[in-house]
Amino acid sequence: MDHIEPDELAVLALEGREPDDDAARAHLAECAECRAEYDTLARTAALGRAGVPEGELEAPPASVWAGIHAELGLAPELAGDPLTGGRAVATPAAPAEPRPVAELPSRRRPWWPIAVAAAVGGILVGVGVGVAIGGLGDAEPTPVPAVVLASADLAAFPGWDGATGHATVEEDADGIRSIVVDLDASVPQGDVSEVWLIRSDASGLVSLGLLDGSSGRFVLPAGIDLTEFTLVDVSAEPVDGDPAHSGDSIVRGELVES
Amino acid sequence: MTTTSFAEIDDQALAREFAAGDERALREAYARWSPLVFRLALRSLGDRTDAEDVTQQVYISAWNGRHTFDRSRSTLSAWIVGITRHRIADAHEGRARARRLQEALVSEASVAPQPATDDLAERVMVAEELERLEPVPRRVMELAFYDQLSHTQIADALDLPVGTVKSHVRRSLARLRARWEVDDGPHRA
Repeated sequence: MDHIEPDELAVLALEGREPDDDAARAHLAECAECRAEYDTLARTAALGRAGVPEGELEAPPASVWAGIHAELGLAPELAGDPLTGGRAVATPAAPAEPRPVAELPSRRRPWWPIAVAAAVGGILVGVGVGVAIGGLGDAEPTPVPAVVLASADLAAFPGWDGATGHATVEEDADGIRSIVVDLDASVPQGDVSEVWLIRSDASGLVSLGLLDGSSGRFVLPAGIDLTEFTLVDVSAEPVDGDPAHSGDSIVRGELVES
Repeated sequence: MTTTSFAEIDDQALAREFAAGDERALREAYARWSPLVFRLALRSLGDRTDAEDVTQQVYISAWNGRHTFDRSRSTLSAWIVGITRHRIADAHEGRARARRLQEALVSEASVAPQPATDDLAERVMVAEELERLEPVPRRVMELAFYDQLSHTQIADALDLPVGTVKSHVRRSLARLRARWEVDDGPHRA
Protein backbone atom coordinates (compact mmCIF):
# COMPACT_ATOMS: atom_id res chain seq x y z
CA MET A 1 0.00 0.00 0.00
CA ASP A 2 0.96 3.65 -0.33
CA HIS A 3 2.54 5.55 2.53
CA ILE A 4 0.16 6.61 5.23
CA GLU A 5 -1.34 9.98 4.44
CA PRO A 6 0.60 12.73 6.32
CA ASP A 7 -2.42 14.23 8.13
CA GLU A 8 -3.42 10.75 9.24
CA LEU A 9 0.07 9.82 10.42
CA ALA A 10 0.36 13.04 12.42
CA VAL A 11 -2.91 12.42 14.24
CA LEU A 12 -1.95 8.81 14.99
CA ALA A 13 1.39 9.91 16.41
CA LEU A 14 -0.23 12.66 18.44
CA GLU A 15 -2.68 10.25 19.98
CA GLY A 16 -0.20 7.39 20.24
CA ARG A 17 -2.49 5.08 18.32
CA GLU A 18 -1.99 2.39 15.73
CA PRO A 19 -3.99 2.75 12.49
CA ASP A 20 -7.50 1.30 12.64
CA ASP A 21 -7.39 -0.55 9.39
CA ASP A 22 -5.26 -3.66 8.95
CA ALA A 23 -3.46 -2.63 5.77
CA ALA A 24 -2.33 0.65 7.25
CA ARG A 25 -1.25 -1.05 10.46
CA ALA A 26 0.79 -3.57 8.51
CA HIS A 27 2.30 -0.78 6.46
CA LEU A 28 3.37 1.14 9.54
CA ALA A 29 5.02 -1.99 10.88
CA GLU A 30 6.96 -2.56 7.67
CA CYS A 31 7.71 0.86 6.25
CA ALA A 32 10.84 2.32 7.83
CA GLU A 33 10.05 5.76 6.45
CA CYS A 34 6.56 5.98 7.92
CA ARG A 35 7.73 4.41 11.16
CA ALA A 36 10.55 6.94 11.60
CA GLU A 37 8.19 9.81 10.85
CA TYR A 38 5.65 8.41 13.29
CA ASP A 39 8.26 7.99 16.03
CA THR A 40 9.64 11.51 15.61
CA LEU A 41 6.18 13.05 15.69
CA ALA A 42 5.24 10.96 18.73
CA ARG A 43 8.38 12.16 20.48
CA THR A 44 7.50 15.74 19.56
CA ALA A 45 4.06 15.28 21.07
CA ALA A 46 5.58 13.80 24.22
CA LEU A 47 7.88 16.82 24.58
CA GLY A 48 4.94 19.14 24.08
CA ARG A 49 2.87 17.30 26.65
CA ALA A 50 5.67 17.34 29.20
CA GLY A 51 5.84 21.12 29.04
CA VAL A 52 8.17 23.01 31.28
CA PRO A 53 7.25 22.41 34.91
CA GLU A 54 7.14 25.37 37.23
CA GLY A 55 10.37 25.84 39.10
CA GLU A 56 12.34 23.90 36.53
CA LEU A 57 14.46 26.89 35.68
CA GLU A 58 16.43 29.02 38.03
CA ALA A 59 18.50 32.09 37.49
CA PRO A 60 22.27 32.04 37.63
CA PRO A 61 23.65 34.52 40.19
CA ALA A 62 24.39 38.10 39.20
CA SER A 63 28.13 37.40 39.20
CA VAL A 64 27.73 35.40 35.98
CA TRP A 65 26.50 38.39 34.00
CA ALA A 66 29.07 40.61 35.71
CA GLY A 67 31.78 38.26 34.42
CA ILE A 68 30.39 38.31 30.89
CA HIS A 69 30.04 42.07 30.98
CA ALA A 70 33.63 42.53 32.14
CA GLU A 71 35.15 39.93 29.81
CA LEU A 72 33.48 41.35 26.72
CA GLY A 73 33.86 44.98 27.74
CA LEU A 74 30.21 45.79 27.13
CA ALA A 75 28.73 49.26 27.42
CA PRO A 76 28.55 50.49 31.04
CA GLU A 77 24.79 51.01 30.95
CA LEU A 78 24.34 47.27 30.35
CA ALA A 79 26.11 46.30 33.57
CA GLY A 80 23.09 45.46 35.72
CA ASP A 81 21.98 41.85 36.02
CA PRO A 82 19.48 41.30 33.18
CA LEU A 83 17.59 38.78 35.28
CA THR A 84 16.78 40.99 38.23
CA GLY A 85 16.45 44.19 36.31
CA GLY A 86 19.37 45.78 38.05
CA ARG A 87 20.75 48.57 35.95
CA ALA A 88 23.89 50.47 36.66
CA VAL A 89 23.03 53.46 34.57
CA ALA A 90 19.86 53.81 32.61
CA THR A 91 20.38 55.99 29.60
CA PRO A 92 17.62 57.02 27.25
CA ALA A 93 19.63 55.50 24.40
CA ALA A 94 19.57 52.01 25.85
CA PRO A 95 16.36 51.37 27.70
CA ALA A 96 16.91 47.63 28.13
CA GLU A 97 13.92 46.66 30.17
CA PRO A 98 14.31 44.11 32.92
CA ARG A 99 12.60 40.79 32.48
CA PRO A 100 11.64 38.59 35.37
CA VAL A 101 13.11 35.12 35.31
CA ALA A 102 9.65 33.64 35.33
CA GLU A 103 9.12 34.94 31.82
CA LEU A 104 10.13 31.57 30.42
CA PRO A 105 7.27 29.60 29.04
CA SER A 106 4.82 28.10 31.39
CA ARG A 107 2.31 25.88 29.73
CA ARG A 108 -0.57 27.05 31.85
CA ARG A 109 -0.19 30.71 31.14
CA PRO A 110 -2.13 32.00 28.19
CA TRP A 111 0.84 33.58 26.50
CA TRP A 112 -0.16 34.88 23.18
CA PRO A 113 -2.57 37.64 24.20
CA ILE A 114 0.23 39.04 26.30
CA ALA A 115 2.59 38.80 23.38
CA VAL A 116 0.10 40.50 21.17
CA ALA A 117 -0.25 43.29 23.68
CA ALA A 118 3.51 43.53 23.81
CA ALA A 119 3.77 43.53 20.04
CA VAL A 120 1.17 46.19 19.77
CA GLY A 121 3.33 48.15 22.14
CA GLY A 122 1.73 51.43 22.85
CA ILE A 123 -1.89 50.53 23.13
CA LEU A 124 -4.01 53.42 22.19
CA VAL A 125 -5.55 54.91 25.26
CA GLY A 126 -8.52 57.18 25.27
CA VAL A 127 -9.48 57.89 21.76
CA GLY A 128 -12.23 59.88 23.32
CA VAL A 129 -15.52 60.42 21.71
CA GLY A 130 -15.57 60.34 17.98
CA VAL A 131 -18.03 62.58 16.35
CA ALA A 132 -19.63 61.49 13.15
CA ILE A 133 -20.07 64.60 11.17
CA GLY A 134 -23.16 64.34 9.08
CA GLY A 135 -24.23 66.46 6.19
CA LEU A 136 -23.62 69.89 7.58
CA GLY A 137 -25.89 72.65 6.52
CA ASP A 138 -28.53 70.30 5.19
CA ALA A 139 -32.10 70.55 6.22
CA GLU A 140 -31.86 67.19 7.98
CA PRO A 141 -31.39 67.25 11.71
CA THR A 142 -27.77 66.82 12.79
CA PRO A 143 -27.25 63.12 13.47
CA VAL A 144 -26.61 62.13 17.04
CA PRO A 145 -22.85 61.53 17.35
CA ALA A 146 -21.64 57.94 17.35
CA VAL A 147 -19.76 57.06 20.49
CA VAL A 148 -16.41 55.33 20.26
CA LEU A 149 -16.53 52.40 22.65
CA ALA A 150 -13.12 50.89 22.04
CA SER A 151 -10.27 50.82 19.62
CA ALA A 152 -7.28 48.71 18.75
CA ASP A 153 -4.00 49.24 17.00
CA LEU A 154 -3.32 46.22 14.83
CA ALA A 155 0.25 45.00 14.62
CA ALA A 156 1.84 42.88 11.90
CA PHE A 157 2.44 39.17 12.23
CA PRO A 158 5.70 37.57 11.10
CA GLY A 159 5.80 37.41 7.33
CA TRP A 160 3.63 40.53 7.04
CA ASP A 161 6.32 43.08 7.76
CA GLY A 162 5.14 46.61 7.45
CA ALA A 163 1.45 45.77 7.71
CA THR A 164 -0.52 47.93 10.12
CA GLY A 165 -4.12 48.48 10.91
CA HIS A 166 -6.60 50.07 13.20
CA ALA A 167 -10.02 49.12 14.47
CA THR A 168 -12.64 51.30 16.12
CA VAL A 169 -15.85 50.12 17.74
CA GLU A 170 -18.65 52.67 17.55
CA GLU A 171 -22.17 52.73 18.90
CA ASP A 172 -24.79 54.79 17.16
CA ALA A 173 -27.85 56.47 18.64
CA ASP A 174 -29.90 53.30 18.20
CA GLY A 175 -27.43 51.27 20.21
CA ILE A 176 -26.13 49.44 17.14
CA ARG A 177 -22.44 48.71 17.45
CA SER A 178 -20.18 48.49 14.47
CA ILE A 179 -16.49 48.09 14.00
CA VAL A 180 -14.48 50.04 11.46
CA VAL A 181 -11.35 48.28 10.34
CA ASP A 182 -8.56 49.89 8.35
CA LEU A 183 -5.76 47.77 6.98
CA ASP A 184 -2.55 48.94 5.39
CA ALA A 185 -0.96 45.84 3.90
CA SER A 186 -0.24 44.34 0.53
CA VAL A 187 -2.20 41.12 0.37
CA PRO A 188 -1.28 38.79 -2.52
CA GLN A 189 -3.71 38.60 -5.33
CA GLY A 190 -6.19 35.76 -4.98
CA ASP A 191 -6.27 35.87 -1.19
CA VAL A 192 -9.03 37.64 0.63
CA SER A 193 -8.75 39.36 3.99
CA GLU A 194 -11.22 38.34 6.65
CA VAL A 195 -11.96 40.20 9.86
CA TRP A 196 -12.34 38.23 13.08
CA LEU A 197 -13.04 38.83 16.73
CA ILE A 198 -11.16 36.41 18.96
CA ARG A 199 -11.75 35.58 22.58
CA SER A 200 -8.89 36.64 24.82
CA ASP A 201 -8.06 33.05 25.70
CA ALA A 202 -8.33 31.91 22.07
CA SER A 203 -11.20 29.61 22.95
CA GLY A 204 -13.42 31.05 20.28
CA LEU A 205 -13.56 33.28 17.28
CA VAL A 206 -16.23 34.99 15.25
CA SER A 207 -15.95 35.97 11.62
CA LEU A 208 -17.23 39.46 10.94
CA GLY A 209 -16.79 39.34 7.20
CA LEU A 210 -14.48 40.04 4.34
CA LEU A 211 -12.54 43.24 4.08
CA ASP A 212 -13.03 44.79 0.69
CA GLY A 213 -9.96 46.82 -0.02
CA SER A 214 -8.28 48.60 2.84
CA SER A 215 -11.26 49.66 4.90
CA GLY A 216 -14.57 48.23 6.03
CA ARG A 217 -17.38 48.62 8.52
CA PHE A 218 -18.99 45.59 10.13
CA VAL A 219 -22.05 45.52 12.34
CA LEU A 220 -21.38 43.60 15.54
CA PRO A 221 -23.87 40.88 16.40
CA ALA A 222 -25.82 41.97 19.48
CA GLY A 223 -24.72 39.02 21.59
CA ILE A 224 -21.00 39.70 21.30
CA ASP A 225 -19.43 40.65 24.61
CA LEU A 226 -16.44 42.82 23.88
CA THR A 227 -14.92 42.20 27.29
CA GLU A 228 -14.75 38.58 26.22
CA PHE A 229 -13.84 38.95 22.55
CA THR A 230 -11.03 41.40 22.98
CA LEU A 231 -8.89 40.73 19.93
CA VAL A 232 -9.38 41.99 16.41
CA ASP A 233 -7.65 39.93 13.76
CA VAL A 234 -7.39 40.29 10.01
CA SER A 235 -6.31 37.10 8.28
CA ALA A 236 -5.37 36.17 4.74
CA GLU A 237 -7.76 33.48 3.60
CA PRO A 238 -7.40 31.31 0.54
CA VAL A 239 -10.62 31.04 -1.44
CA ASP A 240 -11.03 27.36 -0.67
CA GLY A 241 -14.47 27.22 0.88
CA ASP A 242 -13.08 26.32 4.27
CA PRO A 243 -14.85 28.60 6.75
CA ALA A 244 -12.18 28.16 9.45
CA HIS A 245 -9.46 30.66 10.18
CA SER A 246 -6.49 29.96 7.91
CA GLY A 247 -4.04 30.53 10.73
CA ASP A 248 -2.38 33.14 8.55
CA SER A 249 -2.97 36.37 10.44
CA ILE A 250 -1.87 39.61 8.85
CA VAL A 251 -2.40 41.93 11.79
CA ARG A 252 -3.96 41.67 15.20
CA GLY A 253 -4.51 43.89 18.20
CA GLU A 254 -6.33 44.17 21.48
CA LEU A 255 -9.38 46.35 21.90
CA VAL A 256 -8.99 48.94 24.57
CA GLU A 257 -12.02 50.65 26.02
CA SER A 258 -12.26 54.32 25.33
CA MET B 1 14.85 49.51 17.43
CA THR B 2 16.94 52.23 19.03
CA THR B 3 14.18 53.50 21.22
CA THR B 4 12.20 50.29 21.63
CA SER B 5 12.69 48.05 24.58
CA PHE B 6 14.54 44.87 23.73
CA ALA B 7 12.41 43.00 26.21
CA GLU B 8 9.47 43.30 23.87
CA ILE B 9 10.94 42.18 20.57
CA ASP B 10 10.28 38.66 19.38
CA ASP B 11 12.91 35.96 19.18
CA GLN B 12 13.50 36.44 15.46
CA ALA B 13 14.03 40.17 15.75
CA LEU B 14 16.28 39.56 18.72
CA ALA B 15 18.34 37.09 16.68
CA ARG B 16 18.73 39.68 13.93
CA GLU B 17 19.96 42.35 16.34
CA PHE B 18 22.25 39.82 18.01
CA ALA B 19 23.84 38.84 14.71
CA ALA B 20 24.19 42.52 13.86
CA GLY B 21 26.23 43.01 17.01
CA ASP B 22 23.91 45.04 19.22
CA GLU B 23 25.08 44.49 22.79
CA ARG B 24 21.58 45.02 24.12
CA ALA B 25 20.54 41.91 22.19
CA LEU B 26 23.18 39.91 24.05
CA ARG B 27 21.80 41.20 27.32
CA GLU B 28 18.26 40.28 26.32
CA ALA B 29 19.39 36.83 25.10
CA TYR B 30 20.90 36.36 28.54
CA ALA B 31 17.65 37.45 30.18
CA ARG B 32 15.65 34.96 28.08
CA TRP B 33 17.80 31.86 28.10
CA SER B 34 20.43 31.98 30.82
CA PRO B 35 18.12 30.14 33.29
CA LEU B 36 17.86 27.33 30.72
CA VAL B 37 21.60 27.29 30.06
CA PHE B 38 22.35 27.34 33.78
CA ARG B 39 19.86 24.56 34.50
CA LEU B 40 21.23 22.33 31.74
CA ALA B 41 24.76 22.81 33.05
CA LEU B 42 23.73 22.27 36.65
CA ARG B 43 21.86 19.08 35.84
CA SER B 44 24.72 17.63 33.91
CA LEU B 45 27.61 18.77 36.09
CA GLY B 46 25.92 18.70 39.48
CA ASP B 47 27.98 21.61 40.74
CA ARG B 48 26.84 25.20 40.96
CA THR B 49 30.24 26.81 40.50
CA ASP B 50 30.92 24.72 37.41
CA ALA B 51 27.45 25.50 36.08
CA GLU B 52 28.04 29.22 36.60
CA ASP B 53 31.35 28.98 34.75
CA VAL B 54 29.71 27.16 31.86
CA THR B 55 26.91 29.72 31.64
CA GLN B 56 29.45 32.52 31.49
CA GLN B 57 31.52 30.74 28.83
CA VAL B 58 28.45 30.00 26.75
CA TYR B 59 27.48 33.66 26.43
CA ILE B 60 31.05 34.81 25.88
CA SER B 61 31.47 32.17 23.14
CA ALA B 62 28.13 33.08 21.60
CA TRP B 63 29.00 36.75 21.43
CA ASN B 64 32.50 36.24 20.10
CA GLY B 65 31.20 33.72 17.57
CA ARG B 66 28.06 35.59 16.55
CA HIS B 67 29.29 35.77 12.93
CA THR B 68 28.96 31.96 12.79
CA PHE B 69 25.31 32.09 13.80
CA ASP B 70 23.16 31.37 10.76
CA ARG B 71 19.59 32.52 11.23
CA SER B 72 18.44 30.46 8.26
CA ARG B 73 19.55 27.24 9.95
CA SER B 74 18.76 27.71 13.59
CA THR B 75 16.96 29.88 16.08
CA LEU B 76 19.05 31.88 18.51
CA SER B 77 17.88 29.82 21.49
CA ALA B 78 18.68 26.53 19.74
CA TRP B 79 22.09 27.84 18.77
CA ILE B 80 22.81 28.87 22.36
CA VAL B 81 21.67 25.46 23.59
CA GLY B 82 24.05 23.87 21.06
CA ILE B 83 26.95 25.89 22.45
CA THR B 84 25.84 24.91 25.95
CA ARG B 85 26.08 21.22 25.08
CA HIS B 86 29.62 21.66 23.83
CA ARG B 87 30.69 23.66 26.86
CA ILE B 88 29.20 21.05 29.19
CA ALA B 89 31.08 18.34 27.31
CA ASP B 90 34.26 20.40 27.67
CA ALA B 91 33.67 20.70 31.40
CA HIS B 92 33.24 16.94 31.73
CA GLU B 93 36.41 16.42 29.74
CA GLY B 94 38.27 18.87 31.96
CA ARG B 95 37.13 16.97 35.02
CA ALA B 96 38.18 13.64 33.58
CA ARG B 97 41.60 15.05 32.90
CA ALA B 98 41.90 16.37 36.44
CA ARG B 99 40.78 13.04 37.77
CA ARG B 100 43.36 11.15 35.81
CA LEU B 101 46.02 13.44 37.22
CA GLN B 102 44.89 12.94 40.74
CA GLU B 103 44.60 9.19 40.30
CA ALA B 104 42.82 9.25 43.56
CA LEU B 105 39.17 9.04 42.90
CA VAL B 106 38.06 5.52 42.42
CA SER B 107 34.36 5.85 42.83
CA GLU B 108 32.05 8.71 42.10
CA ALA B 109 31.75 10.64 45.31
CA SER B 110 29.11 13.22 45.97
CA VAL B 111 28.14 14.18 42.48
CA ALA B 112 25.79 12.08 40.42
CA PRO B 113 25.40 13.78 37.04
CA GLN B 114 22.07 13.47 35.33
CA PRO B 115 21.92 11.12 32.37
CA ALA B 116 22.54 12.67 28.98
CA THR B 117 19.00 11.81 27.91
CA ASP B 118 17.63 14.72 29.90
CA ASP B 119 15.27 16.52 27.60
CA LEU B 120 14.77 19.85 29.33
CA ALA B 121 16.23 21.79 26.41
CA GLU B 122 13.93 20.04 23.94
CA ARG B 123 10.91 20.65 26.14
CA VAL B 124 11.72 24.34 26.42
CA MET B 125 12.21 24.59 22.65
CA VAL B 126 8.89 22.92 21.96
CA ALA B 127 7.12 25.08 24.55
CA GLU B 128 8.60 28.19 22.95
CA GLU B 129 7.43 27.16 19.52
CA LEU B 130 3.99 26.17 20.81
CA GLU B 131 3.57 29.71 22.05
CA ARG B 132 4.29 31.05 18.60
CA LEU B 133 1.56 29.11 16.86
CA GLU B 134 -1.46 30.98 15.65
CA PRO B 135 -4.38 31.01 18.09
CA VAL B 136 -6.43 28.31 16.42
CA PRO B 137 -3.67 25.70 15.85
CA ARG B 138 -2.32 26.55 19.27
CA ARG B 139 -5.69 25.88 20.84
CA VAL B 140 -5.88 22.60 18.92
CA MET B 141 -2.50 21.49 20.24
CA GLU B 142 -3.27 22.58 23.80
CA LEU B 143 -6.46 20.57 23.81
CA ALA B 144 -4.52 17.57 22.53
CA PHE B 145 -1.56 17.97 24.89
CA TYR B 146 -3.10 19.13 28.13
CA ASP B 147 -6.71 18.06 27.91
CA GLN B 148 -5.89 14.79 26.16
CA LEU B 149 -8.68 15.22 23.66
CA SER B 150 -8.71 13.17 20.48
CA HIS B 151 -8.78 14.97 17.15
CA THR B 152 -12.50 14.27 16.77
CA GLN B 153 -13.22 15.65 20.24
CA ILE B 154 -11.19 18.73 19.37
CA ALA B 155 -13.20 19.16 16.19
CA ASP B 156 -16.38 19.05 18.30
CA ALA B 157 -15.03 21.37 20.96
CA LEU B 158 -13.87 24.02 18.51
CA ASP B 159 -16.60 23.43 15.96
CA LEU B 160 -14.07 22.79 13.22
CA PRO B 161 -14.18 20.19 10.45
CA VAL B 162 -12.18 17.06 11.36
CA GLY B 163 -10.03 17.57 8.26
CA THR B 164 -9.09 21.06 9.41
CA VAL B 165 -8.08 19.77 12.83
CA LYS B 166 -5.93 17.06 11.25
CA SER B 167 -4.27 19.58 9.03
CA HIS B 168 -3.54 21.86 12.00
CA VAL B 169 -2.08 18.87 13.87
CA ARG B 170 0.22 17.95 11.00
CA ARG B 171 1.46 21.48 10.39
CA SER B 172 1.88 22.25 14.09
CA LEU B 173 3.73 19.03 14.88
CA ALA B 174 6.04 19.71 11.94
CA ARG B 175 6.83 23.16 13.33
CA LEU B 176 7.38 21.91 16.86
CA ARG B 177 9.58 19.13 15.56
CA ALA B 178 11.75 21.45 13.51
CA ARG B 179 12.39 23.36 16.70
CA TRP B 180 13.75 20.57 18.87
CA GLU B 181 15.35 18.54 16.11
CA VAL B 182 17.99 21.22 15.76
CA ASP B 183 21.17 20.94 13.86
CA ASP B 184 23.71 20.24 16.59
CA GLY B 185 26.75 20.82 14.47
CA PRO B 186 29.97 22.44 15.62
CA HIS B 187 29.40 25.63 17.54
CA ARG B 188 32.98 26.24 18.49
CA ALA B 189 33.56 29.92 18.80
